[in-house]
Amino acid sequence: MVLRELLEAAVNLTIYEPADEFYHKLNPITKLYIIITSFLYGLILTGVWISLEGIRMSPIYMLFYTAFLLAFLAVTGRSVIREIWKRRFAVVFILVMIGLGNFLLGSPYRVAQPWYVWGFIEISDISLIYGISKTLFLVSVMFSAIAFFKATNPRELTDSLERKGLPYRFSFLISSILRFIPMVAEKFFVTFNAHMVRGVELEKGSMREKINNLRLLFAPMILDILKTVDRMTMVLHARGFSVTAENRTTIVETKFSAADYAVLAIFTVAIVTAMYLAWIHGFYLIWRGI
Amino acid sequence: MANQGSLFETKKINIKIEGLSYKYPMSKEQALQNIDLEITHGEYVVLVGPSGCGKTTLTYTLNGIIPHIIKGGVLEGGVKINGKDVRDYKVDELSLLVGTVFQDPETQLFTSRVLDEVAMSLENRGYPPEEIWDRIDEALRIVGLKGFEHRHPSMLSGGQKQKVAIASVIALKPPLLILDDPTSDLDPVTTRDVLNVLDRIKREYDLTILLIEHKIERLLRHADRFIVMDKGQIVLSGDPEDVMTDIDTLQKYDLRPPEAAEISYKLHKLNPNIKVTIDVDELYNQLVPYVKQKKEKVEVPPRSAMREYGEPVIDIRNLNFVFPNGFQALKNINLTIRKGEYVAIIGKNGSGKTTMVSHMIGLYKPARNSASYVRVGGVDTRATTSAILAERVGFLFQNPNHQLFNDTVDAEVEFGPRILKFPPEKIKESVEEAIELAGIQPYLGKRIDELSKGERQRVAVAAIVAMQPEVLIFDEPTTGQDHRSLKRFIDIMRRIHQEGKTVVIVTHDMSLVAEEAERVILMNEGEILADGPPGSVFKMREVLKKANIEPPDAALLAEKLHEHGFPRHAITPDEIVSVFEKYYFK
Repeated sequence: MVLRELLEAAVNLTIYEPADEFYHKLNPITKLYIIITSFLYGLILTGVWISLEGIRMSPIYMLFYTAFLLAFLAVTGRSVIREIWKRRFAVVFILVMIGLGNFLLGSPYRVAQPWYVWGFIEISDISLIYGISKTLFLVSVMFSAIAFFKATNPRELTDSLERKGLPYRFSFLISSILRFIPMVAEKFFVTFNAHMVRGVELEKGSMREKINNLRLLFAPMILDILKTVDRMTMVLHARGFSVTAENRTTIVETKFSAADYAVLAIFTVAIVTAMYLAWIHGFYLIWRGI
Repeated sequence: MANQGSLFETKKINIKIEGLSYKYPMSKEQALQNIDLEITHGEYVVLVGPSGCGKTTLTYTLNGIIPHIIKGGVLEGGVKINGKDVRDYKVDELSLLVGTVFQDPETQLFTSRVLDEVAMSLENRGYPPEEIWDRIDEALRIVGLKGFEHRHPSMLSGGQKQKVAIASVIALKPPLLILDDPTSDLDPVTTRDVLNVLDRIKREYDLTILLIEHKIERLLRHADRFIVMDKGQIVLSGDPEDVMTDIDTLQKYDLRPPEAAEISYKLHKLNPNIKVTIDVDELYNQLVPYVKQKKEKVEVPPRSAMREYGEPVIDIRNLNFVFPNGFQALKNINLTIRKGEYVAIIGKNGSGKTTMVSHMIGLYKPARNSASYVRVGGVDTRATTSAILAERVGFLFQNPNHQLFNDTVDAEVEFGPRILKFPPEKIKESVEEAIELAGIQPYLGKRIDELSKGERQRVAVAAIVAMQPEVLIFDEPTTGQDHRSLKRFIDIMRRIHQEGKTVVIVTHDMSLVAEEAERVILMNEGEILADGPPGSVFKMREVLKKANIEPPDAALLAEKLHEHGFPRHAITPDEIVSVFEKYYFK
């Protein structure tokens, strides 16, 4: 049951779990910045604008950054790495699928002697390199995003955002959505199982049959979610949510520490490095094919 | 802070309801009819009555949900708190005065940490952080969750979640606490735990409690007053003992009396020397002389001894199961269930019951190439899918809404046989049989969303039965049902069993186990601790204690009497009464 395994992993890896670790104590905005860095670094060095020479080197650059990020997480947020290891099947499955997709279909680069050509699909040494680079790009973004979710209390995130001027109701909505992810997933699993035991085949058959059968799940699931939302609205009123005082107080205090500034500086260096490497390798001009 | 004013600063509360009637929008029937009720400060009042009798509606008029959130109904009469009409205040304002805990803990938690949940209402009202910390500390101490401050709600058990919801409400220290069936999803031990928490809250905060509860037997020692409602009216009100021993009235309104009261009432009819009581010890003292004076040993065989079972339909060998997070849910399970058995699987929440039955329906499977296996009707579950197994094993989920997805009742019952590709004549035959067995003829042609929860559950049973499985597994079939629906549902399960099918129930309802099951499998921490007839399992004191299971009062009484020669396997009220009638009152 790959689908079940993937969904369970998706839920588990997005639930916040407190731990007394350096990474958990970083300001949420610092952790958000690490995701942005991972994204920008990969985007700059594996994007279609990089020259052919640059893309040949990109696996090394991406490997360097990914190794650095994993080492950083292993040292500062060991519990996050432990959780990822527990869900390794799902993580590896996604990486392999996306890596293969990029290898087979994703590369925009064309070479003189490809290994195989079928329509617009061109498999070559460069498409293999491209697939590897994109997979490493995904590893870095995925791991930094997982680390963010696992190590950031949504309350601290919304508090940080509120301090930057986000209205409370909006920040409450964000933290509620994060809280609802496991609940909605749980509803999906229960409905999924309930349908299978009524004879709805969701494990075998063609993809078309499975998708057709999956459609049956949506009506009861959506109805269930709507009822839950309705009930939660009532509960919020009963808890006095809409009389939120203008001088609303908070017990959460999120500040920038010296450690935050140090981490921000280190990851800024990574972005600058990526820009420098892209610049020295030059750019790929798609319209000229060079 | 918002909403300062004399009413909201009060620490004492008096409620006066006069001539209260209410009709929901679009409804033809009155939900409440001319209710007169007074609740004085410090009372612990329990509202009981069948589903739909108006209990929840009554509480909605106290916390302002009616008329401020549920709008458009017809509300007559008055609800006053300390002389002020609550209609003049919004739900949010009233939350300072009236704290409400709802049935489903899952829908009451909004944040990602326990402490944030408790702090939310206080922060919103602008309390100083130091005071918020003090109140979090106090509320979590009272509900017994100190040390859980940083836990994510999804990592908590059902009982812990409900305690967090209670802590979040009492943190505002409202003088009135309303709880709407807060223990319906909890096992008996957790239920007792939550009720003890309410006692502690009442003691420490000196507040008034209004509790809606189906498990009335457990509340006898907690409440000051029981109020019985039926069809929107208060039909009985008084001291718990007086109400619970008024068996005729309770039966008239389809409420189940405490087992001790039921037994003593029936014995009193046979022997006027027996006084009606709700206390098991008192009843024991009345009955033990009759048991002692009987010299010959009285024997009653277990129900299973009167039946012959067929070939194995479920066979589990050396089953271990570890979840991806490393939690070992099952440890070396070996189990055979034969055709025609009626098996109850019991154990506290998290003991492995659901994981084990999930293996029986193929939702979980043993690892390939391992020595373990699960065979259903001789088929290894690894070699097939849940959808194919559905022909052999039917599974009824706790919430029928999860497995009903057709528009009408007829389409729902026909769905399974069609998907299993039964021939047309067989579809017609199996659907008719299933409809008859579940007694859902009146609902044919109706839309599913027109039915109540109990009615939907019966449709779900018919939908499963129509697939003609050999084994039917029911997951918590009686949860949240009133006594009327429960009796109807138990009767359906009994009829299914009488037709020769194998019935497996997963339940916390020990009275149901004692009365219906022929075999009990007791699970604890992923292992089978005991396996035998109810009369034998309910007498394993140490084992039950280890598994946190409390036998029903009738079984406790029978166990005590057994020390003096009372038959081991007579453990239900009817069985006990019948034995006394036959052997001891002659």
